[in-house]
Amino acid sequence: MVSGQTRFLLDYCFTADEKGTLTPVMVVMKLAKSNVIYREDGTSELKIREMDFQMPLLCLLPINSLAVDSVKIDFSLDVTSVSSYKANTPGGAMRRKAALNVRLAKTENANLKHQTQSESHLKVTLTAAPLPLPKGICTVIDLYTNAIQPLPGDATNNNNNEE
Amino acid sequence: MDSLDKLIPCPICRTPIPFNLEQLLRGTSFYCPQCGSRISMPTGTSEKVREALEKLENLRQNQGENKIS
Repeated sequence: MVSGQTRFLLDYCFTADEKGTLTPVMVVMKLAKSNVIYREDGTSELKIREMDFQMPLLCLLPINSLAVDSVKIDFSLDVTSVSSYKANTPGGAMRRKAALNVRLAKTENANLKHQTQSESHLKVTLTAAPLPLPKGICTVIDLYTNAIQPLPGDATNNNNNEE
Repeated sequence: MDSLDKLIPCPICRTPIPFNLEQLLRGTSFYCPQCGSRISMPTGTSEKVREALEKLENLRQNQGENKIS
């Protein structure tokens, strides 16, 4: 994990006290649940119960996007010659190995493209996906995520609240 | 359409609720598929998260520029 990512996590996702103890920055979220209350006289009423809960900012942000978003590299190679040589692999499963001598192809242009018998074309595509987060960070995020619990909200703030 | 790429456990039944941060910031609510609870983000919170998200994006861009140069 690069130092920039670590610095970001420490600066924006945690606060430190005088002793250096880190506390996660929490954000308040709303939780609402609808309940149908059936009365004895046969009528029913829909009540919405609202609660606040806190969750660490760390669990909301797409931290892994810091590493690599997506990289796609396309280029073509012209094979200039093909040869083979004896392979020194134990067991002799592969007796000979192929060697391709290549050069980077010029810009592909349909009008200018011409191939000789000694040249063939290879198209190479490299794709890099986002790097997984380090195990330690994943553990911290899982720990906080699994500890999310609802807290009773303030009933005076909302008439629909029911504690 | 934004994909629901993140999960948050439902505070009531622990079932993972899929959500998308951008949609959550725009005020969209997300429902627990098990118990039907609805989670949303209050305005004050979304400002705080958006600020952190912008800093994260800046850092990402700076890192990209450093890699290229």
